[in-house]
Amino acid sequence: MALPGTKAKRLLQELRQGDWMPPFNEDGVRAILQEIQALDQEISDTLASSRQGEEMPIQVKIGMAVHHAGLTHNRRCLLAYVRYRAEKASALRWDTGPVVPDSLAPNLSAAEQDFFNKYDRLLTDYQQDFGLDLTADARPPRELYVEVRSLTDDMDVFTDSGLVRLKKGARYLLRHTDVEHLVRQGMLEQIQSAATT
Amino acid sequence: MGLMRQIAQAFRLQGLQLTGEAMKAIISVIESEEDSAAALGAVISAIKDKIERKELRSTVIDEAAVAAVAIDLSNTEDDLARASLKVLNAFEGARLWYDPLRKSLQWETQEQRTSVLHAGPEAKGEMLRDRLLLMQQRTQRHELFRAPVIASSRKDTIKLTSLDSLLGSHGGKCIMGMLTQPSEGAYHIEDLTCQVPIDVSGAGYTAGMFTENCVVVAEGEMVDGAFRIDMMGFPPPELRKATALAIGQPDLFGTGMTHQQVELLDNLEGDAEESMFILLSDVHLDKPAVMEKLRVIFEGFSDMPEPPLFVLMGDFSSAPINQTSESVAQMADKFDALGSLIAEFPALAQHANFVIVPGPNDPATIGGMALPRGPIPRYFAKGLVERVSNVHLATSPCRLRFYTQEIVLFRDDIFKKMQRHCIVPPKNPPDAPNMDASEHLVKTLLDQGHLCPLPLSSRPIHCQFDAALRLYPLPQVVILADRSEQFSWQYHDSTWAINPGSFPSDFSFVVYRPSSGDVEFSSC
Repeated sequence: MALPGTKAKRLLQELRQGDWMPPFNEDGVRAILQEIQALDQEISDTLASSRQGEEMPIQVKIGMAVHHAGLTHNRRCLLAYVRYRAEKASALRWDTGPVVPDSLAPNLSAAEQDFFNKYDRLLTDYQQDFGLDLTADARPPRELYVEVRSLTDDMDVFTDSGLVRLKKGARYLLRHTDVEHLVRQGMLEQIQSAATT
Repeated sequence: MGLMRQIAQAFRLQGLQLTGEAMKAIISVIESEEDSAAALGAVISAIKDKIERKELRSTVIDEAAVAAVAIDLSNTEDDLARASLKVLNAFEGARLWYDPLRKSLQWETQEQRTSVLHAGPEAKGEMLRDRLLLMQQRTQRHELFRAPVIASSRKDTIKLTSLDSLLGSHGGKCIMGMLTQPSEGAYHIEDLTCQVPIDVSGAGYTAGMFTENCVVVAEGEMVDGAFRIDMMGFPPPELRKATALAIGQPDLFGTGMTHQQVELLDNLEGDAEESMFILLSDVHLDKPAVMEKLRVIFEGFSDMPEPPLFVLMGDFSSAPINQTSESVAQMADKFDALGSLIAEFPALAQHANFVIVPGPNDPATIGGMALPRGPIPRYFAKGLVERVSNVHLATSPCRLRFYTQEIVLFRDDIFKKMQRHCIVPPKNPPDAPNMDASEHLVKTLLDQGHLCPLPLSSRPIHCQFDAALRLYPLPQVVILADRSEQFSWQYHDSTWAINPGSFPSDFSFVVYRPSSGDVEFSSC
């Protein structure tokens, strides 16, 4: 039986694993919730068993303080866990657009997926009101036009400057704003020009 | 060009890109509308919905996606009517499985995996493994089996030992596994690690029918290389709400509904107070008396404010049909006659839903002894489908989603079979000495979370479609239509198990009201 709080610590350490973030650890979260409940039960049991008007022995008091510290520690860790993940999910919306890439989708729990969708709605509704794409040009472009290489084959994509037919391996010189989303989705690859490096 | 630019801009603000073909398709969709801006908004929000349901997996929208959206948009009027009832056939439904690596329950739809009727030998192992894993994860979550979380909280919990660590151990142990019989008469218990012979001669056990392929929790001791069981019982059941929490999704049907959709259905369900299910089993269409009584029933229910839902279960002929063309034609005629009978009541023919579930001896598209059984072929039911507007030719078993309620329909004579295959005779527990045999059956099926926990030799199962037979999460209602006597038991105040009995024997049937959860037997 580990000390109270070790599980919560392990849960947070786990977040650093992998390239992005690990799948939502439902079992771990449940175990910590149970720990919180057990600690709470323990505290209320001790309080109930102490007689009215009688001073508690110092040992019991310290025990209760430790339990309470463990309880709040667990709660903070859980909140941090959920918050970190929510921030990662919203950062993903800015990085890759409204669709969670297939490789990352299994790492989001259903509730997080829901959060992602709602966040996307908020952002796009806001953008719609102003007619401005906030996700564009996250880093100021050096040039108006960029050279890209296509990683997908046989696809017509409609851009502001007209229809572009993508062939795998072919190079194009296109407006930065037109292709930025495609580069983020991994459909195009930006060729670093000497000036930008 | 101005319109194109406008459309492309609107999509870009959503973070989406269009292909050239998709652009043409969208223009043709919104040009047919008067208010093109509103139409564009509708198209975009429909595409967003599709992305949320994960039907679209790319930010580049192609022509196929736009076409699908256009179809969705054109039939929104029927949506409400369609939303209330959905018949989920056994061969289409999603599968709930437990992923031991990620330690979570997952839905897998038919598109994600290709299930075939003639699966390879590994499918059988996979099926039994899935069943055991589902039971194990739910048992480990149960508070009786949960290890104490902090050192000082000493509760009475049961520690389960895995079978491979039984060897060389002594003293009482508690184990969990599936009952098997690898060779004649030698019962074993098996989990994912190994199998161990068991000795049930002196065993005490709880209520229920202990058959092969049942998962049990047993307490006992290793004696001479066999596990001598002192006490045996089924793992504790998990109520639907608890399973929903564990799945972490509001949709318990695997149809990919979002939070909002489930909430909407829940609200709509509150208004549907008048709805009613009429359940009949063994509707022998070849008996004139049955047709007469059917007329009485249809007449009685024809002037209801909201037409009821009729579930007609097989066998539809008192004598099994054979291969001769005569017999086949007769069967088709019977369905014609049923169709004409219903057509006499236009209210029912146009608005009521009819779910047709095949019996064990009925012709079925995927027939034979094995489960799940396919629906009645259209060739036979043609006369009925043509005359009645809402006929659902369903499989056995099949699932009805009525708003958020789940109703499982199963027509098979399972009761006698289960009784024959018990490895120990069912025994009434001391606190319920008058337990009926059918109560044992219901307890077994619901605790096992499976409609047919029998050895495959006595009831073959299409292994890759085993999920259709599972009762996990526990549905609100299970219809176990059987030729044996009628019964209706409510299990743990949450799940109804009902046998409507054989209709021709006493012309009785069951009425179920989903709004109040009332079940009543009626006869005519």
